[in-house]
Amino acid sequence: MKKFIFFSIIGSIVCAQNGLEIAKMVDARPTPKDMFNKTKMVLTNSKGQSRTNIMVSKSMDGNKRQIIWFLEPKDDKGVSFLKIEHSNQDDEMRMWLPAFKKIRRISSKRKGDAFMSSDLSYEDLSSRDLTKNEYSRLDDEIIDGKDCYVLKVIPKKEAKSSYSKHLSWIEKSSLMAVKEESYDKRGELKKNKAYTHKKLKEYFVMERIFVEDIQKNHTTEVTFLDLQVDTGIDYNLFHEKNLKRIPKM
Amino acid sequence: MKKLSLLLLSFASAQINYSGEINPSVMTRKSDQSQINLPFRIATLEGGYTFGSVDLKTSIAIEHRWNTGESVFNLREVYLAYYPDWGEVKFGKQIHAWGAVDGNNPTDNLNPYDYYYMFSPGTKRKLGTISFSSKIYVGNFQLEGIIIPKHEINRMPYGEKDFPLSMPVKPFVEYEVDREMELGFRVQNSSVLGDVGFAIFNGNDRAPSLLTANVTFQEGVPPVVDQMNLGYRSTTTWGFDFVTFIGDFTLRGESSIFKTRAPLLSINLFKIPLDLYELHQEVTYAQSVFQVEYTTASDITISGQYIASNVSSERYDWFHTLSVELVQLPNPTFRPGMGTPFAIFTDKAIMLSSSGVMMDDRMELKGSTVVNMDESGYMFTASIGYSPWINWKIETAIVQFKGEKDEPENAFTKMEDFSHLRLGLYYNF
Repeated sequence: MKKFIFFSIIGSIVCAQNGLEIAKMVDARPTPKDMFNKTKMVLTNSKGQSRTNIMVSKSMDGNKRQIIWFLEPKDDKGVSFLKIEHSNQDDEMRMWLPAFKKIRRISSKRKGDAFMSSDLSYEDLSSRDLTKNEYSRLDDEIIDGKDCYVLKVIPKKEAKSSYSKHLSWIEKSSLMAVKEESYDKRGELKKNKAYTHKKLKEYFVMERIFVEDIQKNHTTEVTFLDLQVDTGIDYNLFHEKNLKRIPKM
Repeated sequence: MKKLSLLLLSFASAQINYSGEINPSVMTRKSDQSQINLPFRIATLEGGYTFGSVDLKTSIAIEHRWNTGESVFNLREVYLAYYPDWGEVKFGKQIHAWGAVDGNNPTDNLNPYDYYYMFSPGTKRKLGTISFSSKIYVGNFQLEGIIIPKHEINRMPYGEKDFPLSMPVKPFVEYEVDREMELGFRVQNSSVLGDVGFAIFNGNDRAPSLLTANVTFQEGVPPVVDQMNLGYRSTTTWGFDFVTFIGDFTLRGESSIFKTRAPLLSINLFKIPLDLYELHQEVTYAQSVFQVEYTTASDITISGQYIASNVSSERYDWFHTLSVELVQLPNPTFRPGMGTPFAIFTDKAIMLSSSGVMMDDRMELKGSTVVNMDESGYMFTASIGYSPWINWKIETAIVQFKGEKDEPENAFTKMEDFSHLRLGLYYNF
């Protein structure tokens, strides 16, 4: 009996995944080929005042290609945004501004900048490159009844991140993030993020993101409505010419 | 039957889009708090009907004057747009936009300007024209061609006592243009480094200039100009624009060379006045704008522009129409008939502007200053917009011109009386 326990412990130590392996598992998780959804984003300040943005989004390649068309507030209606991520070069970002009838190429380097004045930065919305971060595993925890891996993620210099580290809670059964704490360059807690997901077809997809900027005392709640996956979005959709036409929901 | 079913199905799946703005506003002169009575767009409506790959787009506005209470309906755009896989095709009354910099675009000469709105951004300051355009995307290239069958001119505030640069009377334009049809072509390449574009446009000036004069010559006395006759010069432009990124800075630039000449005049050979003299003129001038912009960590955008306009060569020859004899007459001061509207103020200026939002986009702060580098003078604007409820905004702005008393012909000096406060209410739907 003692030998059995001893070898079980040794076996589990030998077979336990490290942080990078868990990150690879998360990265290899089946994801939809494409996604189409309506997004509602509610920004709430320290006084409890809220402002709602509504947009339509189409994406593929794990959000590496994405178009967003803004519907509300009404003075933003018609503005749209195209992002194409590249692995070995700077991302391309373009905005269609109907008031100017121009497609404006914008800088993609400021990943730390806020997306639409929200608590989510462009970096928060981009996928993480496994090679540009260091992953270490911390003790597993149970969050809201979900058994989770806990990873410490430290961006390397080449990631050009605005964060010094993240602590990520990954649900073991779905390999979806449940919670994340992000720390600024001074090592102070900057953001708390809470994620809710659901199963759609054979995929787990994000349903809700709640971000609290601790330092600004400000929150952003993003809800993905009317989510559709694998609808056969054409690769050629992700071209600036499609910024001018809001798709039919 | 099958085709009819498909057609009906397409109509059933068609989509109607609309958006608009109601924007009553008032301008008050800073010097004596009197109201500035110029027309403004009190309401605008953009509509679109999408049917498969085809859009029908319209833009209408209601222009209003407070002092007379009159409102004028204005169909600014109405055109069909077709979006095949390879690009887009548009036909109708429409506004185009070329160029990489913000606000002052020497390469953007496809539409005339509405000088009542010359301080407004984007398409608000332009007039739609009937045109056919097609854009083709090939790899990293975009190729665009535009045909404008009929020449259109700038809308100028003639006889507006509240607009200091206004001419008292709309001048009579004697001559039609040499060639009505105007053509434009642009090619753009996109790469990881940025975008680069080249453009050519062949058309006619948007503002009239002196083409002939009726002159009396008498021995021993200087010639007397009895009448000046205006028309529109033919102008060809070659332009270049780019946008690139260096670190956290975005660099945008645009430059155009304009070659303008007097057109071939249609004068009835049997009715040529004896005192008619023609001005042959060929002028080459250039306009350039260079812009640097930066966005801070707190989402405040700062940008600086250097705007320059210069004449590189001018040639004027006066000759008697009947005898084709060259004569000596004073040459007119050259005024560009095409290009960025800012050229009427100065040949060289620096513009600094900044904008930021606070309180979750509830409050927007904007400021800009234009400094005349050619002579004295500057223009300063600042505005605060506050959105108490979603889709509503109250905006207050100050616009200040400062010239030099010793330079009465300086445009900034003339505009000093136009310094004003503006209060506007916006409702977007």
